[in-house]
Amino acid sequence: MNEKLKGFIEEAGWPRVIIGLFLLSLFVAAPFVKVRVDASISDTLVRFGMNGILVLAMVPMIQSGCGLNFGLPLGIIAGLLGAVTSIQLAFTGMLGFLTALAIAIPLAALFGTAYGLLLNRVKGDEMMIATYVGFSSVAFMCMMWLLLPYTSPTMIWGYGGSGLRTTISVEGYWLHILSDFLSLQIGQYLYVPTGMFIFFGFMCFLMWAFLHTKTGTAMTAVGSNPEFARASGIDVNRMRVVSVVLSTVLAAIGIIVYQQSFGFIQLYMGPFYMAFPAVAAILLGGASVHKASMVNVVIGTFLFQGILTMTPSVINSLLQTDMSEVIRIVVSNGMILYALTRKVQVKR
Amino acid sequence: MINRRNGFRVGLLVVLVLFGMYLYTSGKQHQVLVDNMPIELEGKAYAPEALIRVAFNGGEPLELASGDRDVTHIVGPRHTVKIEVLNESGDVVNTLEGEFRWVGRKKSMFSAPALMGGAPSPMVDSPVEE
Amino acid sequence: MKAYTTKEKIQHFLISNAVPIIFILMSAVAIPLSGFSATYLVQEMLIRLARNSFLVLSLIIPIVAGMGLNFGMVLGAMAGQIGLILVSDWAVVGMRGLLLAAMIATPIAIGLGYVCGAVLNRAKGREMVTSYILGFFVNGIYQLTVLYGFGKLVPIGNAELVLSRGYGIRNAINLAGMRHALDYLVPIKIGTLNVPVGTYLTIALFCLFIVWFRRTKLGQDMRAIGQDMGVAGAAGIPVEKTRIIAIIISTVLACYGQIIFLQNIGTMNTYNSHDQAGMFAIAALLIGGATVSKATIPNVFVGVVLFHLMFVVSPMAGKQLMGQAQIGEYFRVFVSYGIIAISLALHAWKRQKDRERARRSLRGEA
Repeated sequence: MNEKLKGFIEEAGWPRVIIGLFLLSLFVAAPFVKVRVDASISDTLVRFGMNGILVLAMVPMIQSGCGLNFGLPLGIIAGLLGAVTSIQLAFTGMLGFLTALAIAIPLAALFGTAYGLLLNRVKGDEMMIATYVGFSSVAFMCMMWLLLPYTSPTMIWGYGGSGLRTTISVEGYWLHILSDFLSLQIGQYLYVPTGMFIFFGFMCFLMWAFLHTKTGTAMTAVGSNPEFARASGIDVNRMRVVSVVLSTVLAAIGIIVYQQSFGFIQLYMGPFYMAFPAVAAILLGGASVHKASMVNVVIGTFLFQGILTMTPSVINSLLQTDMSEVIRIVVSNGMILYALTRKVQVKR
Repeated sequence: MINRRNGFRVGLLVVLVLFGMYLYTSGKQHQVLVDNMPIELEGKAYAPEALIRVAFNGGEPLELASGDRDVTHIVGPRHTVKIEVLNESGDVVNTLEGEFRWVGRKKSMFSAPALMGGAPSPMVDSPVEE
Repeated sequence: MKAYTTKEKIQHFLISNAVPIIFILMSAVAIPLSGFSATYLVQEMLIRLARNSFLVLSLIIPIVAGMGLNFGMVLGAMAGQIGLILVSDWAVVGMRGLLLAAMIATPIAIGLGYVCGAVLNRAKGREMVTSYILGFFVNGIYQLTVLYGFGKLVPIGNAELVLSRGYGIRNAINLAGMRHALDYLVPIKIGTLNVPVGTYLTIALFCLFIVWFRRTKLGQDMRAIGQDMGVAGAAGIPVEKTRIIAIIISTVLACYGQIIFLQNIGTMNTYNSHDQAGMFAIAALLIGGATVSKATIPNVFVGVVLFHLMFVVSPMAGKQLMGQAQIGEYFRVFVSYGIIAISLALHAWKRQKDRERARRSLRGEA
């Protein structure tokens, strides 16, 4: 029994076990500090579903050796453009949601291709450049949001202003369109957004299936051993671009799913820091800078969002202060730091 | 290990701490109430002049009539002060220059009558709670 | 080795100085658009040179030591701010206040620098991303300390510094007592302009320090590590320890740089000032033509002038061009980040090309 336990811990890695236990302890402590357990579970589940696909977007680039996709904002912007255009066209319900996707995905593919070509020229320094590509594109879009010719009154500044507002509500269009599908409402506080989970699960399945196709395995080969891959006749550069496109497209899909749950489209500086929680989540799930699996995505997102939900509420109740923002910063960045400083077992 | 290198380092540290203390005392700014009201110190009574101009360390002067109180800032432990006594038309009738030291927060009120009357220290109990 | 033709020389010059050249061109367009007068701009640049040069100079040493852009300089900035908060609370004014703040902040900066160096040693090859995230992480801890600890655990006497709820420092602190203390230490005026001579002298001293440092054994060690860690280690240089020292020096200098910056501005945004310090310093250095592996003192001054020129000119230029000053402001953010992206990309691309060329020559192709 001891051996099995040891084996499990070694496989799972100490950090995950520690954080898992920490999360569990927070849930246990919750009722003692007057925090409702069912509301907390519900919050965690909702945030889990909301962020899942954004975390999933990390997988292709990690597998192909492009590192952590700090340039996620690029894909997010594609998604934002899709969402905003869908509202401009005044489509509601599932049609609006699908339109947003339909516009975002091709845009994301376009952005991703350019981005991927750039990354191919800078092998070895991808992460830093990805970060700044992400930042510059957000800043660039800040200018664009002011200039693009959108006219829908729910989106532009009031009193005859021009340019889009900072936050745009999706209420009345496709709020909760996925979440509410087959959702469960247990009691007053526990809400399970089943529809969103189904969609997330479907996306994970698609990714898993893709990784097992010829292209998918080629991509993984490029990430784990580029010389061997080249020798086997795989076009390394092409695989990398494919992975970047996939990642960007998933980011676009992910942000739209996020928005239908969150209720708002956040423009301007909204997407600026959005890569970091996704990075922290996947690293927490056990992924390394070179290898990531579906399990990493699911576990990582759940643990990360769980901590992010529970720690502030428990500590706030305990200390009677609102420390949530600061705790969020410390926890998420601490986790990324931990992963970045792990000694990499070089198999090459 | 007591050797030269550590001794040097400890010495350097001591020098830095002393220097820090010097910076603190000589650089610390104090809020001072400037008073032109009658005051009694150790049994002696000091009376205010009708109109005076008070300038600390060569700075901007404050004008105080009898019974006035004003507030200003001074920096450090040692100070000079120049008090000009004025008559009704605003001419300088008498000038008095002196030096004093900052005593402490409890005695953070400068009494002009006390200085003019020759009291040992013009810094008197301040009514301000701080 | 073949002789370079003039055309090749020009090409080489253009490529290696691509970033500053792009910037000069952009400024040439934007300055007339903005409508600012030349005297105003010159005056602004003199002030900004004094204010920012020290911070940018502090970035040189880690680059020489091969550790890339030290995003961890925000740690030094935070240490400096803590020093200033305490000194403000104690109401120590003038140059003495600044010196005291520096004295208090230095041990904090050394400690933080040590942590940063140790973490970076565990993330070799990924220093820049790691120091970037470390910056955020320590920022969180700084906020914990300053927003919650100060006032409760650390006694703050001056009520003006504290938030209305009784603990935690306010967001904007007035540094009136220490404002321009270093700048006007030596009072010199040109016409009606006050010239921050004190600060210029300090910057000049710092430049001399850098030049001298490069010649010391420690400086040479760092250079060696920067060129090739393996070779340096084999030559007997304590690589890990030296890297940490490089970061500590940089952090402490960033600490002083932030104090100098804040004494010039006169107000401290407790929760924001340090953030921008790091970002703007790095952008300025890159704009001046430095790369991740090479930075010289001229890079610093050219960079500060060009960056701040764009900074000052963009909002008005944006207004003239597009009718909204807001566009100009976003444009300047875009340019700051974009320039870093371009510089990093150019540098990495060049490195990749060099690597490929080396590999090809190894394989025997001419």
